[in-house]
Amino acid sequence: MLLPSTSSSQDDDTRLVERLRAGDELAFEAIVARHRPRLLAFARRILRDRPDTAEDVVQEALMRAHLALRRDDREILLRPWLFKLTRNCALDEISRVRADTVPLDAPAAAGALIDRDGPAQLHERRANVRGMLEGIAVLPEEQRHALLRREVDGASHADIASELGITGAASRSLVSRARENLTKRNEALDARCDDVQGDLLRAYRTGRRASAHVYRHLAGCKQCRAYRGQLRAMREALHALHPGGMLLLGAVASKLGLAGKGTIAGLLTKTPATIGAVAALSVAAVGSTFVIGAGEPSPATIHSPVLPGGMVAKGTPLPPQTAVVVGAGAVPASVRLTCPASHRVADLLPPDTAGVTAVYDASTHPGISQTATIALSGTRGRHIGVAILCRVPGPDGSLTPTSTARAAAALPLVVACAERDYLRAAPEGDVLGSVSSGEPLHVLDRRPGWRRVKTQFGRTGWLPASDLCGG
Amino acid sequence: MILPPHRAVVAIVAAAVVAVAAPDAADARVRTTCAPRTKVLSTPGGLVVGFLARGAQVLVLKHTRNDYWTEVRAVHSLVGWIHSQDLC
Repeated sequence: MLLPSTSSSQDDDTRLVERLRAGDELAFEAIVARHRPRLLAFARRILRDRPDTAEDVVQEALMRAHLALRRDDREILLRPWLFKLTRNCALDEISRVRADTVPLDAPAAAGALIDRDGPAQLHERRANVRGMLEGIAVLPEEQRHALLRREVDGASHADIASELGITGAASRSLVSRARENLTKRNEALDARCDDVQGDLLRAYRTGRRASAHVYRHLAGCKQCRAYRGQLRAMREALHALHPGGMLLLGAVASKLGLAGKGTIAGLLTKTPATIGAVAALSVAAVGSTFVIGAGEPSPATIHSPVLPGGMVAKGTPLPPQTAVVVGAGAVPASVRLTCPASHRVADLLPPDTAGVTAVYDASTHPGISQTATIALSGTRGRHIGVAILCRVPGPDGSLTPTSTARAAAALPLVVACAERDYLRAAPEGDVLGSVSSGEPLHVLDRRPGWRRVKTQFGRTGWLPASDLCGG
Repeated sequence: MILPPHRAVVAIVAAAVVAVAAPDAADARVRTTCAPRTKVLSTPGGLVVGFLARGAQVLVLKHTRNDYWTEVRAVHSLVGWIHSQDLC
């Protein structure tokens, strides 16, 4: 018979595991003899209020270890693995026994029954313990092991490091992160559901992921999980009815007055009728349009020369004097989108579906028209969500931000008269671009029969004077 | 009008050359977009007036000096500028 060695070297453990796997049951007895005392102490620390169950827990862990070691030939670091098994068995035992019950035959029962605290305090204390155990249970495995070994078993960082095959510094970091995660989890659980639901709604409206704080709260809050389920159901209803649903969600929510968290909280309690109402509105949206006005979250990241700074990020408020109009249609179709009063059509935004051609038709003059007609072509029958950017023109008729317009304000203003004209690098020179009828232009220079102009997009070039009106 | 024989031959040959060459010349201006989604602008750096799916046929109208931009006529008579690299 192999006598248990006092050496705790990894080599010995490895040899014992090899012998066990070769069929030598005595090797397992040696493993038990070597590790059981420390496993037992470890289990007793976890099961502080029920030390009598520690032996059962260790027995269960060793049985699992025996089965697992015989089952396959995976390389294993025996000592940390046994601690991990024991810890898991102990946590299973804790979660198996309901924390709010006390067995009457248990020695602690009498103490519990005459506890100086009242039932409310006792309940709160137990709830706290249960919450902490649940928090520990959801920690990443290495963090959980390091925290329990450090806090429960009092192990040194050197021991933990050797068990996990990491450095002492990494062990300290693991314990620190575990504590931090537990603290954040507790904070998240204490957060008000109103706030969390407001964050969820914002995340769904803007298409962004909610914060980690929200997800931590969701892990322990049934009410908020149900709320998230309702939001998902609404999104799926929209999406099933209309592929542009994602784009339309923000607009639909706006139309329904769901901007405030209180509103949607109240509205969503009426499900599924509410979801049906939203879905019905979505159906109406195919062939109808929605306006997302200045200050409301942008439904997408938009790059455009008419926007201050050249862009607006998804979810951030649309700048003043700007709007996005959203609509939808089935291919082949023409979708008419009308900008709000005093706004003019600016950019066409990318359709929400790939493989589709979407273009302004000949009646749409960007910068001048208030209504855009968008012709869709592609796979017949597909529903396409489309949107346009609208802007209020400045005093000079330009759609570009005020700063640019102001800089050019001192220059004489003319308007392109020809249907379409080419902007040239020099009179009769190379083509640089084009201008369209009605486009405002600032005159920079004059030559017989030619004018050097600056367009609202900041490009300069020469045009025939005969093609310009005004000034 | 009756042409002298040698002029008639020249005219027939010329007509034949034009008939053969004209489609080629026209075809050279018809190009296809290769980008997954080609953005059409009102002018280089201007407003977006359309999006063309891959494989859309366009008629090339003009190029800028550096050939970075190409003016095209696309479906629904849309005229605008695209990045030349979006063409096959």
